[in-house]
Amino acid sequence: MDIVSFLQFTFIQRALVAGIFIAVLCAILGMFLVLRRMSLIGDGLAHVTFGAIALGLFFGMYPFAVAVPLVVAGSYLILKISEKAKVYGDAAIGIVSAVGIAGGILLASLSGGFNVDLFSYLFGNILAISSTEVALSIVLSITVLGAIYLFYQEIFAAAFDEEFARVSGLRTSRINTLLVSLTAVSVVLSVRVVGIMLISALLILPAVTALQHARSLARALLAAAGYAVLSVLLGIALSFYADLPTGATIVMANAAFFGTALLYKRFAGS
Amino acid sequence: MSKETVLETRGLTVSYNGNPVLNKVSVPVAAGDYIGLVGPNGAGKTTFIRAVLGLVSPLSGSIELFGKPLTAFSDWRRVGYLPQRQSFINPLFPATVREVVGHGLLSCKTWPRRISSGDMLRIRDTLVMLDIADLKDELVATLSGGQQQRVLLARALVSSPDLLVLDEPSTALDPQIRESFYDLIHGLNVDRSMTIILITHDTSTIGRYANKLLYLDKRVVFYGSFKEFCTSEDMGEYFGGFTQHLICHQHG
Repeated sequence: MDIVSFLQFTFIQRALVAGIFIAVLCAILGMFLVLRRMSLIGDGLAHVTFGAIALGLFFGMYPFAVAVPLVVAGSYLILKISEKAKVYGDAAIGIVSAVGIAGGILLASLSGGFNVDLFSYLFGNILAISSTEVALSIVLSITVLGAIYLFYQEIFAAAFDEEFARVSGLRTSRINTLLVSLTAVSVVLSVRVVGIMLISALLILPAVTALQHARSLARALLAAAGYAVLSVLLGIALSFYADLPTGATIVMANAAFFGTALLYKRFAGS
Repeated sequence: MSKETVLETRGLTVSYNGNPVLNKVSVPVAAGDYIGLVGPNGAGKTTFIRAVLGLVSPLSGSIELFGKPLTAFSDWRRVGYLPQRQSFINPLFPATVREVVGHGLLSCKTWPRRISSGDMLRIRDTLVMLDIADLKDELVATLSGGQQQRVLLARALVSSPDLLVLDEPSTALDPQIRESFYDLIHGLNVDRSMTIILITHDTSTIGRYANKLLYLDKRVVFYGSFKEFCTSEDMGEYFGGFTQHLICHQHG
């Protein structure tokens, strides 16, 4: 079997298309989250996704249809708790995250214990992604990337200096809401790729790798997207040939790029 | 013809967690004024300008910018702001000088906001005026404190504001650069009739450049010309003659 023969399989093609779209999406959003020191919001929202999917399974509904609105609501709740209740952002993430997980566990228990479906969402299985989910990933990715393109200057300015952005007449609370809502949608999409446990890696690793050598924000975003796509390609190929879990392999490929960028910076300068 | 009122606060009161920080501050600022805002630590100087810029909500009182209530004011192009410290700059943020100065133009734009080639010319001209054109492609996070200060000043000036608010701008500057920095601000006030509000602990700067002194200590202690301050018997009583003399003669 030659090196690219695995591309002939339909499930691999679907995994590559969905994986590439979602990876680019997460890398770009993740850059803004990392720069705003909100990296762990991905983790928190992933835990809310767990609860939301459990809710969907409990009522026999399509889990993503339940997860998207619930996780967007969770992201809004994180913002509001940190704004209004005088709770630090990381503590607000912790609160919503814990409630999400606890809700999921309760529902799983009420339904008679963990079933296989819920377990598969924890660790992801991009190779089992359906055509509908691929189409959903493409449409939502394009929508989210389009929103980032249209609000690029606002998101950039608010990330660099939120106070100045406000004095420029930008409505930063709306920008923050937009950013976390887009993150919520991306997190739900990523569940299929790497699973709930590893989602934050897709958001954080490509961004921090690109930041090791970036010379402008635009270049950093391009580099992060590049690392993310390469990691998906490498991860799917390696997992196919070495019979490894795909989500974890994608994350390890991302981590390898980060390690290489660190070493390069350390020994060759950047 | 009377000058346009750029800013007017009436009975402005601000409190944090129930503790009053500003108490019934009423200050009119006319176009072309250069106001030195002084007062002890914790006097509410920064809170005053944060309230004026809409960053802090007042408990009571009113604020008008260019004749409009702050809540209805939207022409933020007319206001430039240089914050107190550059410490908010994330050392990992890969923003170039050009990109950051471009943020100063977002107040001139409607959605979807884009930086055009015409904007790039304005950015270049502003960088040239501040003598930092050679830094245009450098990352802001890697610059020295003084260079960062000039980049942030460029960001405040690129929209050609009518009111420039500076919060202790000279803390990161060495004496020589500080001198040229204040000369530049003075030039903007004289040549372009730009209204300046400058928070500083350096009363020599106020004595030399500002035409008005606003002394805050949670309330307005004094608002008038520097000369009036120095000859005011009330201020002599308030500060004690020796302290008043020290404030007035620091500028030599």
